[in-house]
Amino acid sequence: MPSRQTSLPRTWAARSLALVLAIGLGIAAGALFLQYGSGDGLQAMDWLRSGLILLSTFWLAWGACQGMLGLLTRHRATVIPALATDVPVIHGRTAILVPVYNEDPAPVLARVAAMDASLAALGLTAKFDFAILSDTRNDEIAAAERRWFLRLIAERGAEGRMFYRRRAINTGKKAGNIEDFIERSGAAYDFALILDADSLMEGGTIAEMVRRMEAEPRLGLLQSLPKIIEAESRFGRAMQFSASFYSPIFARGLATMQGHTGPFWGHNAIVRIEAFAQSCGLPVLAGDPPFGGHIMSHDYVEAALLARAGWSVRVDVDLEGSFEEGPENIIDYAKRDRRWCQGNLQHSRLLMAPGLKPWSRFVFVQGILAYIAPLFWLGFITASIAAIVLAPVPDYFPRPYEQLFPTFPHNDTAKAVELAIGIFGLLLLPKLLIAGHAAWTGRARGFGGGWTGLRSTLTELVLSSVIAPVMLMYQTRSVAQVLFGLDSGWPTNNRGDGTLGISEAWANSRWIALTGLAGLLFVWWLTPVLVAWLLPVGLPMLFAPQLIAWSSQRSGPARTGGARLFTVPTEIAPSPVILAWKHILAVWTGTAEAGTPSAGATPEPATAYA
Amino acid sequence: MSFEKGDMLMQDADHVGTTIGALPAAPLAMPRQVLEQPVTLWSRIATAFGAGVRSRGLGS
Repeated sequence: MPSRQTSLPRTWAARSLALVLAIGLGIAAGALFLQYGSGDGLQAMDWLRSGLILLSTFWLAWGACQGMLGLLTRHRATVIPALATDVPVIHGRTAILVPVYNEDPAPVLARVAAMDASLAALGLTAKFDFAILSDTRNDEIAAAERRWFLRLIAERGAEGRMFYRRRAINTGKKAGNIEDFIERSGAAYDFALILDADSLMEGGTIAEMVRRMEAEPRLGLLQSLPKIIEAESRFGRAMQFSASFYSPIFARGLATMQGHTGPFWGHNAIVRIEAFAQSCGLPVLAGDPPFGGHIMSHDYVEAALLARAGWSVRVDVDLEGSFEEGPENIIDYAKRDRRWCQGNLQHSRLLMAPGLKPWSRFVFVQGILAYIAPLFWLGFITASIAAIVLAPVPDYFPRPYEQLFPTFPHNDTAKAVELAIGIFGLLLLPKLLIAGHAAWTGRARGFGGGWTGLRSTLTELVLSSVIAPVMLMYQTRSVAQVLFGLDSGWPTNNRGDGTLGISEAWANSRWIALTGLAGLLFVWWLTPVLVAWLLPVGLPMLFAPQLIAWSSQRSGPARTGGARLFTVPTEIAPSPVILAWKHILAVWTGTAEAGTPSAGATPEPATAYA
Repeated sequence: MSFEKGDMLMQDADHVGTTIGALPAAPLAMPRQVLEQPVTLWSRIATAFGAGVRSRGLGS
């Protein structure tokens, strides 16, 4: 198979094009706003708002460019080497690492059993060991982990190739957990497949990743693009759809720009142990959390360190059969986001780290901007309200002794409307183009067909727009907490049914509702005419508890008998490993008869839709 | 449940915690990487900022 390394000129061309376009559009938006603001003379507040618009538009345009590049990039046939005839020939030994932290052990270990069975079906078990690396602090959960693990090895006949280890002290959290394994046992393996507790991968995909690592000796890390599965709530299914429908395109754009400095998202990725050990020993940063202490978002840093040491890091979007689960409600999403926010802002300490590739530094900047950029919008809204208070009284007779008739300020509302259309275009266009592209290429079939795909896209656009002000508030709070020195700690991920009642939603979001109410009342008192402009932001804030509770409910079946809204390929044709996992879990937890899934009941793997 | 087998019983080791199954003893060093210049303008600012505005007043 030919090398998959992207040529350097192509990488630089893609980066330059995206950067020039994003900067150009940002400057154009800023200039347009200045023209609009100059109607009654340019004030300091106009310059401030123009600057905020420039930065916000740059960030939006950067994302849009990534999507466009993804659409323009010729994509390879996707790979699901699950059939025996496709078994890749591999030589090295791989440790499959499953870090767990206060998780429900039965689903986690059932996933291990399913992956092991998938590898066994390809005759590859001898090349892989599993290590369950527990950092669980709760003794009852730890006892359950041990019980389920013993059942796992008994059922899979896995003595000597499956291990369980619980650390006495969880120094360095997940990164420290992986590091501990490598320092004790790393030399026994060539590669390590790093998973999360909710990760699930086809045996064929794992083997193909090993094959690619062996084919390119300078490849230090290969990241797959995990698809979200098993979402049941309205919010969760919208996220699942988004991750399955848009993400492969955006990731393809990212892959075009990555060169040898691709991303590491912390799981569903394989590393060359020699490279990882040489390059990725993370230091403890001076000072206390959140900016000091252990590095929280370690994955970005490890990718940067591998690249610094001359290893190639890559995301291969064509690899199917890689799955994870996602948060089922906005509050769980916000909790996870709080941790990521702290981790990304901590990267500000590393921007000037010696020897990093320029793109790695830029990735850190992007990560920081992902949390700072929404604040630009908040700043813009606040500055726009302040601008009304600070606006000068119109001077209709600037030359009182020379003019007979009054001079009215220019009305440049048309420019503001043009600007708003442009900004909404940047937000909506990539997603709509992806929907059109999916319908055109037939990819939409996996999402219930062209009509359902479009319906899901439009609904997702509306839902994400309504949720955006609520997320903006959570992100603002996260950034403020980090800046004021509050550490998020290491909360456990909720992976079960995330349905929330209104009282729970109210307890977690009343501050948003009250802020929205106060904001709307204040603006109404100040300038009633402005209230209508603020309603798209103010109303979702005001009704945040209702929105959070409603979106956490299980989504219903299709009403018209057609495809269900937010249908994804893994629902139409689940990958065999998903079916195997569900079956094993059902047997283990006593909700199904023991036995193995019949061959006839196992559909073909999900067709390639990436 | 009783799935224990003779050679798979839990082993308690102070330095590791609890293990089941003998993980391969094959140590590999992970040298600490240098990520921060000893003293830079930015590290001075970050340190001063962190020390200056630390507060616990925002709630969780």
